[in-house]
Amino acid sequence: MSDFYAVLAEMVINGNVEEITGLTQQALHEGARAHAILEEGLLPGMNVVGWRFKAGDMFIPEVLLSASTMNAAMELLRPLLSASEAAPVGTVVIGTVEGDIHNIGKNLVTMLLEGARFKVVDLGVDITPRAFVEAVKEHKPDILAMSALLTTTMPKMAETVTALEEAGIRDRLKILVGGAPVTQEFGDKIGADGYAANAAGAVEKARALLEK
Amino acid sequence: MDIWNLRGRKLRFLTDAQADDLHAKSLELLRTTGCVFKDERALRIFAEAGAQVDSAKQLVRIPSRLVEEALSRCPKRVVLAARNPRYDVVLEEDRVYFGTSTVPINVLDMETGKLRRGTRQDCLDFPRLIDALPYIHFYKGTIYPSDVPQKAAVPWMIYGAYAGTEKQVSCTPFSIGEALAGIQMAEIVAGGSAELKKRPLICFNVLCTAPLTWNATNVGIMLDLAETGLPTIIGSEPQAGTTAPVTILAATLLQNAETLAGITLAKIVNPDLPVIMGAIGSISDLKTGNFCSGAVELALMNSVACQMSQRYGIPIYATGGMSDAKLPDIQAGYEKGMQLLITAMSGGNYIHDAAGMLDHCLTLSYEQYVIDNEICGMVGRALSGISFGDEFMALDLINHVGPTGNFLRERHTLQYLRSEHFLPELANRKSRLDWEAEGCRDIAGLAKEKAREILDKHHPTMLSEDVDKELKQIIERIEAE
Repeated sequence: MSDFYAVLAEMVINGNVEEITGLTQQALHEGARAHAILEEGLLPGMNVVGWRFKAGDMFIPEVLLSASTMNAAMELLRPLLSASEAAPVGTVVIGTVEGDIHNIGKNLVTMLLEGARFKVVDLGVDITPRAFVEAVKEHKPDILAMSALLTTTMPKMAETVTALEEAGIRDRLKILVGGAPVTQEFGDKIGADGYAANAAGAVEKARALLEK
Repeated sequence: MDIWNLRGRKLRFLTDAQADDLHAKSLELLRTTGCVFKDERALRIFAEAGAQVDSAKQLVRIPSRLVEEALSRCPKRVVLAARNPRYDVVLEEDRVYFGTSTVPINVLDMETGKLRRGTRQDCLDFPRLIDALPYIHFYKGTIYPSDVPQKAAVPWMIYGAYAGTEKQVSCTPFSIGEALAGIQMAEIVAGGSAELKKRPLICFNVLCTAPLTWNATNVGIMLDLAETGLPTIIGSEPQAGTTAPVTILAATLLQNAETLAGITLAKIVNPDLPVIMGAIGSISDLKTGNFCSGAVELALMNSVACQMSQRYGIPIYATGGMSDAKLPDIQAGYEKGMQLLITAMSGGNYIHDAAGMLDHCLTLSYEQYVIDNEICGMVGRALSGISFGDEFMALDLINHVGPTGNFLRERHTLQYLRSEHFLPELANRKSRLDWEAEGCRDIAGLAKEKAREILDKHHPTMLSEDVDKELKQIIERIEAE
């Protein structure tokens, strides 16, 4: 069975979306448990992808292909996993702040978070502080992630933190900020719980924030 | 070399047939797939002009005849006026001018060497520096100040431009309010709105940033600018691999199509509008998703855009001379040199970002401006090429000096030395011994010294007291709102 897992992990790393469902099917047929396939085959593969991406050894399109490959296998596994086994590691609500329409970085963070088995609610761009508050009330995330690519829109992050405080829900979640002009200093100043300089860092930080 | 009389058009990557094909495919894209314009006014204007509009999707399918009509009505020559007329920039054919970088938010501090945010003082110092650098032709508002109320940031940028330099001024507005404030300030400097129309002392740009999508802010600014009749830059900035396909040709196709879509709208609003097409696209770094400002592919995409601009007979706002280096270092040197040379030799008329900027368009450096001034000079010399004629062939002189002679003492040598040889101020051509004796100077250190010297000593012709006061009043009013 461990041979299966090693091959599955390789398929995820190599983005072999054509063959993974066949092999996953075969593994299940030979008695492998769905949860074990996920934990010992697919996730180790995505972890390697994550390290290589952070080290600058993999391209984003390759990472996305790996994520698609894992998803293809997950289509088969999901119905077989128990509720707790299928549960995501955490929920993130993400959006680009009001007045800002940049979304490539945010989309990258979303895709990598999903690859790391977070549930992500992507609100899109130009999200007002009030809309962020409503989304937090609705989805009850562990983390609220905000992105801004303009110095002119960064202040909206502070406004959103304040809006969450005024709604009495600031303490229920962690706040993560990012975007080219955003800095650790700025994040600290506005009372965010974390800052990440790039998408891979965002996933790491999100994981770390869950443990706090 | 006459730095004010540079001509490009020495390099092209497409055959005429390929350029025609790019144009045909651009029209096809706009006609069949269409372009999104996130503005109700724009959709109405297009519908009235006969385009097919899907209001729910804000999608316009543009008939090719509208695009061709728009192009045919674009003037071939656009003069951007400067406070001092000898610095007027004449955009036509393959004339080439170099200008500053826009719009970073950080500055490499000259004292500490560390990164800091831009300030109001930088808004005054950068133009003063550029005023004294001979190979930089125009000043585009370069540093975004962070120590003023946000709504006053662009007005401070524009005020600093007029106060600090007599060279031609342009600006990227982030809202129509900023553009209108800029026009108001330009009118004061020009001496009235009629005078501004005669001699346009300011030029704004609007850009398309996503695949075939003009966002609300840029369309809004474009529509209002079109009505003013001031020369307007309309361009596109696709990123190959993210907002455009990864192949350079497809990225240039999108760059071209998006630009044509914007120009078509502007010309429907104002058929006489002087338009400058713009190209700022590059590749995305597919390891990080970052915009690669220093990529050589940017220059390739720009070269194709310059070739299309010459095919259309419209001036172009080009891009070249950037680097993703974080310091004025070796990477900065080769990325900038290579990129600028390619764009200039392709005939980019108004090459912005040609000097001063580092690190993904985020950072400015005073010493980098001084270094890039020299790069602009060298590129200018390359563009000037080989002068032909009897005096330059110097056959009589060669015969006179004869075999085994030398030319050092000839009057001809002294006469043509300065115009034929580019004389760098920074690049070190001394022997190693001399260089060591002088302290083994590195070029970034030398450039910093020069920048400091210029800032200490150089003062351009001041604005009159009245004009200066009126401009400051506009800013005070904006800050008080």
